[in-house]
Amino acid sequence: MTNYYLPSEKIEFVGLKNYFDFITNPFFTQISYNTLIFIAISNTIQPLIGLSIALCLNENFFGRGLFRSLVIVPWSIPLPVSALMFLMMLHGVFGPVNQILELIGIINKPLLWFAYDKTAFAALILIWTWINTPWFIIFSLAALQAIPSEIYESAKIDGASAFQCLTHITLPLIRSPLIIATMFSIISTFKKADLIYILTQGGPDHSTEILTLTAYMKAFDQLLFGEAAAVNIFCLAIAGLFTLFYIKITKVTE
Amino acid sequence: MKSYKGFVAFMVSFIWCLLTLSPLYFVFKFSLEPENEIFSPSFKLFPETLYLKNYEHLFSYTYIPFARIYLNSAIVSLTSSLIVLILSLFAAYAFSRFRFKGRNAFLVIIAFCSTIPSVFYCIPFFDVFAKLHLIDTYLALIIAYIPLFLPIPVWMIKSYFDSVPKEIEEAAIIDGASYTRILLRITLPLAAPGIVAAFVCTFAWAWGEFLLSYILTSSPDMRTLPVGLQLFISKYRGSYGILSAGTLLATFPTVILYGFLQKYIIQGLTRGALKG
Repeated sequence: MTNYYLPSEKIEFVGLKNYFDFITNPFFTQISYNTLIFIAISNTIQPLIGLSIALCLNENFFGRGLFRSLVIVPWSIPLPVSALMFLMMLHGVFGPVNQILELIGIINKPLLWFAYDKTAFAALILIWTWINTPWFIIFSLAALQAIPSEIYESAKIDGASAFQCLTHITLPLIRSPLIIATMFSIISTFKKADLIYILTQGGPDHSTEILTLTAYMKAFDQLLFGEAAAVNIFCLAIAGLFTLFYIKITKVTE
Repeated sequence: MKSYKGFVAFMVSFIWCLLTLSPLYFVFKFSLEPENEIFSPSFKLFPETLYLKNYEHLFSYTYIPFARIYLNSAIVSLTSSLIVLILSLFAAYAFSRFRFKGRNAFLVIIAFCSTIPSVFYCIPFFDVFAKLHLIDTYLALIIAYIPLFLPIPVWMIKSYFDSVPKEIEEAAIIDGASYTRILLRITLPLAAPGIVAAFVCTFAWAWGEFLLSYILTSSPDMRTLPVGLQLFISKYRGSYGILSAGTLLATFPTVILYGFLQKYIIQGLTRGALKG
């Protein structure tokens, strides 16, 4: 609630001005919208892919153990390092993604992924999916393995088809662990300011900026510490909301 | 029917792994190419010659001393994850074994802390450490990492302690063992997998932490690995071949740790949620 601006020594009390400044900022709606869409899209795609891969890895086939170890690899790479790797993968001149897309004829000239708002956002979701899907895979797989095989055997005796087994046994039983995994993932998606900072710094034109990144950039790029603190309080309120859901789902205080 | 299902599962897993591991391969390929070959616009799956100069240049690069920042990252991550481990051991034991006033409140606070974005810690830590002249020291980073990474290990270890039967400890109490002795001799060995998982996860998070170490360090000698690599490309416009070599080396510790201890980590992370 002060006008703390690093280059100036004077700090004054300004009441709620920082909060109003932030809300009346022309980019406020866009940033809130970005945050929401980023969380919503990535936490829809990732559980779906994660669950499908986990269902496959739960089958019996040659080399299953190896694949189970390999799926965790993207997740074990430090996040900033993954971001740097993808800066190269999606590079406008030599990025293999562009080159392959060109080779199979989808695009006819190299696409500058981080130069347009739509492609930058898509790239962001792609990269976050690459990093975070292993979380859903291992979580779903652990949940699938926790289902006792007797249930399937008795269902088979009763004449249930494979598809019926999936919809009537598997999905209901892994629903609640999957919801918890998604909750965890939503919280960590909200926190991913570092990933976006390295990739796009919120650009082009705030199209990939999310709330937590605003809080960071206001303080350490524009040196507006007062306003940044206001944004942080906003984020904290959202974190508080997440906590409420979280406590309800996981019953931490048992 | 059975083999058909297995084949589909194999193909899907194979394609997924191929897609997800290809970035690693391409970065490996870049690290073996000179700059002009990297920038050739045509697609090549293999490098033309084996060019090892990138790794050599990486260690002789003057603006970002790579060996030094690697060491910085190791020191900071190891120290902070050890401290986090010790603190979370005691906290988890207390939460798991004792019923005290405010226990639920503390559990809720810990849950809340785990949802706070790391950005939130940036301003207060920067402000306080600047006034204490702690910017650019290991101490600042270690102090900053502890509250950031503490909440989740507490849970992971707590869920393991919860699974150790109380009867064993009661028997030990009857035999005259103290609480410390019980913790060290009985509960800890039984909860070892969870403790290993908590330690490795904390280490990996600290190893990959970016924003806090970005603002709490300023001289090239004190940067941590992620920050150093980011600055290498964004500020000093370094070569992509060297960057590739650096990123590849930076992934090793965590990838190897996760690879070897995978079983424990997956168990430790999923256990709490699957039980409920």
